[in-house]
Amino acid sequence: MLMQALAVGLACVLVKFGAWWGAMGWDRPMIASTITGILLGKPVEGITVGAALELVYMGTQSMGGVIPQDYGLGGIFGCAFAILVSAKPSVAVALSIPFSMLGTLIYDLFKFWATSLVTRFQTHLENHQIKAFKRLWNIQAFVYLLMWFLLGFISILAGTSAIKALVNMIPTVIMNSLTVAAGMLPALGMALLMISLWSKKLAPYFFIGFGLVAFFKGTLIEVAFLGAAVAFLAVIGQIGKHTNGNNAQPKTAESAEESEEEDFYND
Amino acid sequence: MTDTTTTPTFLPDKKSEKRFYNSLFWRSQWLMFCTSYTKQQAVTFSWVMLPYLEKIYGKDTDEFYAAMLRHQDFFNTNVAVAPFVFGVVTSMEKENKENGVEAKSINALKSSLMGPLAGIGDSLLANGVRLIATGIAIGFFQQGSWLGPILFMLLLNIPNWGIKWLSGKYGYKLGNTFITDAMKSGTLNLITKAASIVGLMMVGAMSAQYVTFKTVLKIKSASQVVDIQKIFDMILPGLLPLLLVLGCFFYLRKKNKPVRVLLAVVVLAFVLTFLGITGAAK
Repeated sequence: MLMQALAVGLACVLVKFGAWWGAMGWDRPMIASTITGILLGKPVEGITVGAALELVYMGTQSMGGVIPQDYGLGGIFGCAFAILVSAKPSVAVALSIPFSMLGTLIYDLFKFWATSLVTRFQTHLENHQIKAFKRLWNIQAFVYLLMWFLLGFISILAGTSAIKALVNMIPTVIMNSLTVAAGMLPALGMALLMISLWSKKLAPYFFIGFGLVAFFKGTLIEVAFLGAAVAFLAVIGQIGKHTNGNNAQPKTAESAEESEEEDFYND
Repeated sequence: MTDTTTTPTFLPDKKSEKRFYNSLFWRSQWLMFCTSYTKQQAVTFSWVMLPYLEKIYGKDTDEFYAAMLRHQDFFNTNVAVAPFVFGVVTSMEKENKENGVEAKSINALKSSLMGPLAGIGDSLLANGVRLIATGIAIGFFQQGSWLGPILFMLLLNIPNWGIKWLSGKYGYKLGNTFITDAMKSGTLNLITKAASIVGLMMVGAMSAQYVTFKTVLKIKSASQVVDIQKIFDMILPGLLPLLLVLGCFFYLRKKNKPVRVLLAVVVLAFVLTFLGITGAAK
């Protein structure tokens, strides 16, 4: 179990690094699960479980560093338990949820520490100690990654046998309930996405997308293709509107531009 | 907007300018590290600016430290479009050194840029590009195909890194006039709107594709067995998933926390399965 624990610890570091550095999206459950699968020597399982995990967490996303649920850790641990205790995808999804909550708790603790460092950074600058400033920055980045490594390492080392026993104990009716829940949970993900995209005027587009798949059996690639065309149609009138406005009014006419801006918000 | 006749001290030629764009691209990737509750990305904002401020004001000078302290102010924006702010701020710091722009205006500009840029970055990348990339790649993931992760990374990161590269370059070149013009003319809103439209269509499509919610209930009358799910399918294909998504959506809109909705869905799944209304698909 030591090697597996090291592998999951390393997966945590990679996922957390690729989530922040360049915002590469390594914390998306699909990718987090793929990385974990690769490190545990079962990449194909990692990829497949990743799809089930992504569906549950699809609507959760990090905005300005605030993560409502740590979907990256959910992806890692869901995949790890799917592989290590051969849990079904629906059970893996259920097991990932407590870890996704633990992740936000631990990150909150780290953020408190980072907040306490803000004044120290400032003091270093006030004292003209740029080297100390740089050193402190390196330390916090290192501590951040180390923290995730330890979480992955310890959880797998200490928790796997307990989880294995738990998974083997689950009766059929609960197993079925978990499968049903895993099928239903993507609805929450979709609802969360709608919250951030929704406006009354744009609501019909949701139903167009739904109908294209539900009634006409379209694929997502086909919907993306049509979506781009429809989006262009929807804004093209307004593009024309603002260029005309600019041509008619010279740039110095501040008031004219303002009223035009109001037009845009009012229409 | 500058008409400097004095020899510039920072980025005097094309070659060093190119080196600056490169360096800014790589350094700005670290922006999320050391996020704090009080000032969000402020510490790392100054950390990214460090070498450029050193070049502009000279190492260990009072001016350098004053500039570093100035950038300890609250900062928070989307990582992909952040290089734009770094570009604008660097060009203004250079201005400040050469012609004495009021330092306060640099901070004012930062705080006016970060909101709209975060909005456009989040809607374009987090909602638009990410949803399209997820929608295209997830089918391959389900089949256990390597195409899944490869496609997702490319579809997500080519626009992400492309925007990052261009926004740094144009931020420095165009200075602070460009974004205010774009905001006034409504271009930013149009991009946000277009991204939201594609995003919503993808959400609708994925709701139909990936939400599984059907009943296994069969009602036995005198001579025949009525399959309730078949009736639902005749009324409207995907009716139950659609109702479930809309139900979650309106529950969330009432300011319920996502975790509470999650628990509600799990509880609902258990109750329905124990009652024999839903069950494992055969």
